[in-house]
Amino acid sequence: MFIPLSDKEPNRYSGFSSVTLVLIGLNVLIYAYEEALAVSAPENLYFLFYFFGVVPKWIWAQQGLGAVSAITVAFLHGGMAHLLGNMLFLWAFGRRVEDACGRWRFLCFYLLCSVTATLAHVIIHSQGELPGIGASGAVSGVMAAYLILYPWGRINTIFFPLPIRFSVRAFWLLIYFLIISNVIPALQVLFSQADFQVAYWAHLGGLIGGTSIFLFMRPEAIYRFWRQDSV
Amino acid sequence: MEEYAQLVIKEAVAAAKAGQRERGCELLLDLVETDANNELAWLWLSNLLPTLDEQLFALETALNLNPQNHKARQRLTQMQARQQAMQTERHALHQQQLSQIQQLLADKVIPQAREQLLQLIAEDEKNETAWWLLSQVVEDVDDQIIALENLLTLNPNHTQAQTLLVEKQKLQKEVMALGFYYEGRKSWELAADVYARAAATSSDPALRREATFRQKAAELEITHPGILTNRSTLTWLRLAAGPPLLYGLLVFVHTGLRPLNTPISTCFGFLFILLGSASLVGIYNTPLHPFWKQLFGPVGLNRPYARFALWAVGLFCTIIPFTHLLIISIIRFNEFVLP
Repeated sequence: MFIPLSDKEPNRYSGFSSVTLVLIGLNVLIYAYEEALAVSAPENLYFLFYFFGVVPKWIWAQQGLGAVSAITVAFLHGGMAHLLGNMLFLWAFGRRVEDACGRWRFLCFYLLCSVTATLAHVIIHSQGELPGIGASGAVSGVMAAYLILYPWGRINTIFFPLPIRFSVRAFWLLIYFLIISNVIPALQVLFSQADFQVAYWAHLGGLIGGTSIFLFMRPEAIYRFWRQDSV
Repeated sequence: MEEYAQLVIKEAVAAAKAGQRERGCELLLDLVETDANNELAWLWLSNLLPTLDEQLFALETALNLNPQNHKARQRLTQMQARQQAMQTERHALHQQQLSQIQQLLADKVIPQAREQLLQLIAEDEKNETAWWLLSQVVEDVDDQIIALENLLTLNPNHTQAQTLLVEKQKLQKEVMALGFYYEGRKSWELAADVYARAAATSSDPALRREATFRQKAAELEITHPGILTNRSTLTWLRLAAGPPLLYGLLVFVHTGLRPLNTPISTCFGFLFILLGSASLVGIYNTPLHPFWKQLFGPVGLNRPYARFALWAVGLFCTIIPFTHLLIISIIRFNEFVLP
């Protein structure tokens, strides 16, 4: 399995990607709280996921936290691997996207991707009663933004579990993660009602949201892609 | 002296006949420097000098010294006729070159047109049309002024050039206006230079801030053309769209994906967010947009009171609708009973 570690290029405009780090810090803190809750009062963890995660049926019925849950969902994780995976991807791709956008715009973009991911999940699983949690929808949006901004960027990657470290062009990695490992299961969900633990449509929602937003912001991106240029 | 002059002329003629024309010329020119009334030396020079104009000058001098020299007069008439023919030919050639240049300008092939104009002026520095066109195509305002001054030296009654020269001289003195002018012409390097100068020399902090911002944008245009950081309306619209879009989607989720169920208060919230987002983006990204200039004068939002007022309005208008949405979510959550 390919795991991206970091971008090879340093920041260009700002020395420090603070929002990315704050988001990672918040996610880790909230996960620590979840772990503590799982030990002390497991039933409260259940409520936490239900109330602050996205339950499609409740959204359609206009019940629960509604709009707020579309944001809070991006700060909840169901396990250490889930958290670690999302945060690694956020660090590898988010750092330079934040550098290009600026702090507040990046935060707004991240939250927007979380909402578009929620929307896709709610639309596809309209009768779903299980809470969807995780930052992966928002992180997918960030990955899409990275692909638009730096299609030729190189990412330090390891091939887990072997300790082989190499760098790979961003578009190969993103094609693999976003298209191959998401589109096929997402289509299975849509056409054969397959039931997965992973919210593939939330990933695609974030991806579509991130792509649309960045193509609106940077319509010349496709032209730059063919020129093998980046921002 | 006479003997010396004859010796020099003999040596010069011998050198010329032996194919050393330049050496012959040098000897004769040295001679006429010391003995300017030597008719024979001038007559030989009229044969040996390299250009027709110089030969004519030498022959005319010889004729001034001895107007009775009929042979020389005859030759002068022939040479003048030749000069006239050459001038006509050269004029026709230059006219042809000018029409080619005008065609290039019409096709907007500016660098090539500029190069050809410079070549034409090097050959014919009295060509008014070439100077006029050059003043239109050179990028640097200093060069434009030089071209216009040269044109006005040739033709002081050129009214268009007079008016344009006054405008350019005025522009040269106003650094920020000069920067905008270069931006308009997409001369990003010149614009970046001008803004760097303004940022370094201006005593007004607001102007320095604006110059630094525009310098960075111009430098970005050089390294990454086509990003359009200087199209202020487009930038404003693009950047201001984020928060309203976020709010709109959150409301969409909140209303169970039924936008018609949106309460009227949240609709007002959307208008608030639009206003707030436009204000905040205006302050930080497009402080010199024509709209702000109309409201706050020529420096736009680069005035502390205007910035602060708009920042306060922007922040208030952005925070209030999100807070309202948070409150109504919490109220709904409190009413919710877990199935």
